Order: sequence, then structure tokens, then C-alpha cells
Amino acid sequence: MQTDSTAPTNSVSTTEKSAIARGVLAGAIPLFALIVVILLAIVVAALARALAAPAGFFIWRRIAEGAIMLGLVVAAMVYGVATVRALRQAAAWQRAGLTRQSAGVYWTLFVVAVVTLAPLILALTLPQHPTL
Amino acid sequence: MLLIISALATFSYAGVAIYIAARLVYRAPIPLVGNPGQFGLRYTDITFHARGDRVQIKGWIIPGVLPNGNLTDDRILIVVHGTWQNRTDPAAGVLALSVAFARHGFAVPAFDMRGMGESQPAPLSMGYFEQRDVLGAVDFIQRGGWPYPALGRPRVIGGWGVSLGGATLLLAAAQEPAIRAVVSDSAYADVIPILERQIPSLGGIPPFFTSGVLVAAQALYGINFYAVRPVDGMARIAPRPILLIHGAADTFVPPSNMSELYAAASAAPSAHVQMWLVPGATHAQSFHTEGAVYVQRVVAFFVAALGPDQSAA
Repeated sequence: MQTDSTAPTNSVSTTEKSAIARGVLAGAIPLFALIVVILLAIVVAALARALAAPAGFFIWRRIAEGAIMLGLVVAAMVYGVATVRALRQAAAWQRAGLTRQSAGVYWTLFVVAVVTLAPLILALTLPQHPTL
Repeated sequence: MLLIISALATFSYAGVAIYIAARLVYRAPIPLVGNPGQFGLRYTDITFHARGDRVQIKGWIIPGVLPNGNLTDDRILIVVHGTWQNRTDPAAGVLALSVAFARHGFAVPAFDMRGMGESQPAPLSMGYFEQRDVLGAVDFIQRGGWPYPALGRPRVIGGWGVSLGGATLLLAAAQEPAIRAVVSDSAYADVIPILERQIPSLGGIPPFFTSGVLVAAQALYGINFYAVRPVDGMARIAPRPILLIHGAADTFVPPSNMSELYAAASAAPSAHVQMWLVPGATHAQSFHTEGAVYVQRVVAFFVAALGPDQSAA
């Protein structure tokens, strides 16, 4: 009897976990996309410095600044699109009664918002000792 | 709503930081004002490459003049100017001091650091990259196409630098044993406290943008301002002699920087370090404040450190 009652409980628990994991993954996509685009822009800027150095500072500066600015704009766009898609997915799961997935998305998006804000929070809280 | 606010705030912060970083690192070079010929001295224009990244550096070499009028390049003093300046820098008296050194028998290679004067355009990195220019000058002196073959190769190398030049010279000397003596005037121990004050005032932005600007400078130009800490390399210069000079009324780089540098240099067991706090002198104005006394004291330091001229020997 004990064996019969334990097996379904484990099965439900695994299903719940995978549902939450799906929600978390869907919610984390904007952050992953943001990190990938920013890293890509930094790598392009570093490559521009290395490869375009013989062409002179004004050339590599333009490429590096262009890559970083473009990276910032693309990152903002990708972040926005990915966030909207994640929110739509969460709403669709909610309508389908998959509340654990949708809750996973919403909570992850909250964490994503906090992580996105982290550089600013760090900048505000980091101690400074300017020469007076 | 939180998502929108966080994204807007962070992207705006990043945008402003990038803009200020771009303004921080480049300014149109100031043209040279004068040359050693106007002081009746011979000199030759030189071009060499910075060590490592081969940025083209322009400068000149003034042969030293012995009391009998003969020229010499036995003892070399590399002269390094300050921020947004060049090898003539009248504000700090760089050309006048170069001339004074030459008249005391020291050959003087003075050059424009990258991005300044006539040297190749480059971002200002407060010593992070500029130390390569000083090291390039050492390479040129030791192995380059020497413009005075009749005088022979120089025997010993010393260096004098002011402000950024003083800090850069310390950074270079910490890794180049060929620099046998250093006079560093108005140098900073660590550039970050200076930038934490300067960046907000330059950009008209709140102080919390500073770290963002520094990160942006690293991403855009590869400059790690956090690594510009001459204080960390001071002990490595020993046993080579160091003279630290600072204006007592310097509010741009406060005299506490000299104390920090002195303490760090003195930590080495075989340290030979002296400091001179010049009363009433503001930033990089010790030479103008003390005039002949400044020259006399610096020359005496170099004579003691590098020995007398041996070209006649």
C-alpha cells in the first residue's frame, strides 16, 4: 500500500519541477539574449582594436564605438522583444491552466529585472574616494 | 513595469557612460611651442615606436653640452610631459627644463606621448598605454638609429617626468631596469581617486557614473584605469634612486600622493628614495616656483645617481 501511494507523489513532484523549470527558462531568455548581444559587442570592439590598429586610432575608434553603440541598441531591442514574448508565453500558459509554468516565467522575469538593474545598483553603492 | 524601468535606467546609464568615456580619452593635440634651437642648442628630430604596440612616437634629442662646449650623450635623461601636453609644455616648463638639463651635460630625448603633440593619435590612458612610449624611448636609446653616431651610444639612462609623465615614468621604471634613476614631479599614486573627481566635473554628471565610464573605457579602448597604480611598482624600482617632488599647494594631485609613493618605495630593503615638498607650488609648478634651485637640486640628484660624464674618458 505504501509503495502505491509513494509512486504517484514522486511523479507529480517531477512534473511540477519540470513545469517550473520550463517557466524559468522561458523567463530567463531576455537575460540570456542581453548577455549574448553585449558580449558580442565587446568582442567586436576588442577585435576592431586589434585588427584595425594599423589603420590608426580614428578608424578603430569609430569601429569600436560603433560596435558598442550598435550592441547597446540591438541589446535593448532584443531584450524588449524577448521580454514581450516571455510575457505572452506566460499569459498563454495561464489561459491553458499551466499556472506553475506561468508563475515560473513571472518570477524569473522579476529576477531578470533586478539583475538588469544590478550594474546601476552597484554603481550607486560602490564606495568612491575622490581626491578633494 | 519593473522590467521597463530597469531596462530604461540601465541602458540610459550605459549610453551616458559610453558617451563620457569617448569624451574622456581624446582631445585634439596642442601644437609645439618652440624648440631647443631657439635656446641656441643643437637637436635632432626622432621617430620611434612604442614598445609592444608600435604606436609611432615623435620627439627630439638634444645632446648634452659640456663646460668646454663639446657635445655628449654619455648620460641620458628622458623627459616626459603631462596630460594633454607635449614636449614643449610651457605651463610646466618642460622645454625650459630640457634645455637646462642639456646645458648641464645631459643628453635629453624629449618626446610627445601617444595622442599628444606630433605623435600618432591614441586614447589617453593616464599611463596604462603611455608607459609603452617611455619603454619605446629606452629601446630607441639602446638599439635605435642613433642620430649622433660620432658621440657613441649613451652609457646610462635616467628620467624626469611631470604629472602624468611622472606617473608614467614610475610605471615604466618598475619594469625596465635600464632606467637607472627617476625624478617624478607631481605624480599620482593611483589614478582612480583623480578620475572619481574629474569624470563627474568633466561630464557634468553625478559621481555614480564614474565606474560606468571606467568600464566603458575598458570595453571601448581596452584601457584598464584600475591598473594605473604607480604605487604598486615603487618597491620594484629599488635600489635605483628616486626623487619625488610635489607642490605643497597642489590641489589637483594632493601631496598625500607623494607620501604614498614614498612609503611604497621605502618598503624595499635597498631603497634610495628622497622627497621634496615645494612650499607654495601648485600642480606641476615646482620648477616655475623654485627656478634655478629646482634645476640645481635635480641635476645634483642625477649626477649622484648616474655619475659624472665619462665621454672624455
